Amino acid sequence: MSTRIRFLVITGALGALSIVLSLTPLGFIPWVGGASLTTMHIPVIVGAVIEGPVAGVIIGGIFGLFGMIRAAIAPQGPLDPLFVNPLVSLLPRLLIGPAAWAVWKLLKRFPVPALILAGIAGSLVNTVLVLSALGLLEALPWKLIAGVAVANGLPEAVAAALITLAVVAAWKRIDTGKGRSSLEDLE
Amino acid sequence: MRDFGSFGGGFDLFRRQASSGSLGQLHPGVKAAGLIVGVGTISLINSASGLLFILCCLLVAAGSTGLSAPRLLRPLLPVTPFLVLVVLLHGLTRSSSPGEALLSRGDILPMLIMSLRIITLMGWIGLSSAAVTTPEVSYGIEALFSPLERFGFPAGELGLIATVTFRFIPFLREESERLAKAQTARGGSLGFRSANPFRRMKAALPTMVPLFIGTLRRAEVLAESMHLRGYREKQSRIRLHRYPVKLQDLLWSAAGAAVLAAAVCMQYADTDARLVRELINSISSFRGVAV
Repeated sequence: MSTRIRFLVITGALGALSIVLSLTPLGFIPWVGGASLTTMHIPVIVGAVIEGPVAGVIIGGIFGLFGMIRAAIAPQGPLDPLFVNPLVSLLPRLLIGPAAWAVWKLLKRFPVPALILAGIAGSLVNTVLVLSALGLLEALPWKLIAGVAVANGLPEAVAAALITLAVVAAWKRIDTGKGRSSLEDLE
Repeated sequence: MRDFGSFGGGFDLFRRQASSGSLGQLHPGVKAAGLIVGVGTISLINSASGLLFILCCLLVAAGSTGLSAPRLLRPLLPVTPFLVLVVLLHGLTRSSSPGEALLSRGDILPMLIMSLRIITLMGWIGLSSAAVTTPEVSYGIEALFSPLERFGFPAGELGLIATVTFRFIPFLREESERLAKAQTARGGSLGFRSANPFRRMKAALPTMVPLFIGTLRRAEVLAESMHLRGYREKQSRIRLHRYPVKLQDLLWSAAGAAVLAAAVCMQYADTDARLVRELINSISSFRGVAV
């Protein structure tokens, strides 16, 4: 099968997944004090690791564009009005995929730490770039931004690392046929 | 368990609410270009009068296409308190030197620009998304990037990715609901009630991993079936609907470009200072009446 078709379809499907996560409670893990951790950027990281940096950019674009449209036509959170600006919602999201892919590519020889670090890198790129875009536009004071980055960004990175590791490890095994469940031989 | 159906309810993505008007019947490429050029210009422009001019034109355009102005700005209603707070914070944190007053006259213009930019962007994005349907989105992307095709840019493939994305959304919504309900039926929790935040994070795994793997597996099946049915990315595909470029398209794009260009020109004219002066005058005269 042409890998090109696979690339197109998996990219589109993971883009849809990041949209669906933002529409269901699965996209928001409740965290301390009413804040929630988003998981919507994880499809971008998974896509970048599985299909390469271009897929990461495209899925990140879908995620960012959808976030921008949602902030404009159905804002929910207190910070949503700021996310109608594409410099905040779209531009930083394009770079999640390439960052995660670069880490994965560098450490590919040790898959488990590579996946954990790719998840952390992708998630941190999202947090740091979105928050610094807000800071550069003078939308929020830098002290508040630093607080959000530590309180929300770090647990988000941990969640992203966990889920990326679980998903990609499971998927790669299915793909290569190594280390399958023993039940599959019975079928 | 929280109800999945009601989450994000009342939120229609690309349903073309303005279909009766002339804006809904435009060429999808024109709509896509309008969204990108408009959002780009509005977010980079730095002039209150220019943004106000775009907003007024936007409301007139919305009115002429059957989408009334209040309806266009309705999303603004629930976030108005936050918007006021953010804009005030913006003004307050600007002048941080100790001798200065917290809010001075110099802060009015930046605060005005910030709030106008957010409102205008909301209106522009809202109007663009209300004028499109999902098939038009993928065709619009394809049409927009087709000039780049001769340099090897895969415009058609981007359109296909958009189509696949929209096809997968209903399936994935169903799948996520099914997984969450299966999890609760087995006595597992989604972790919303747990007091320990780390347990809540861990509880997300049993639903997230099958959702991801299900998506990837489904994508693989789709790719395989496309391959077996003879899909080739290089050859041009035939379409059910054709969208010819009409006179209307040219008129609307010329009008949009003129409005944006006028707003950009206002940045270099002295209109902002006059706007602020008028604003201060009207506020002080209002205060005089009140006293």
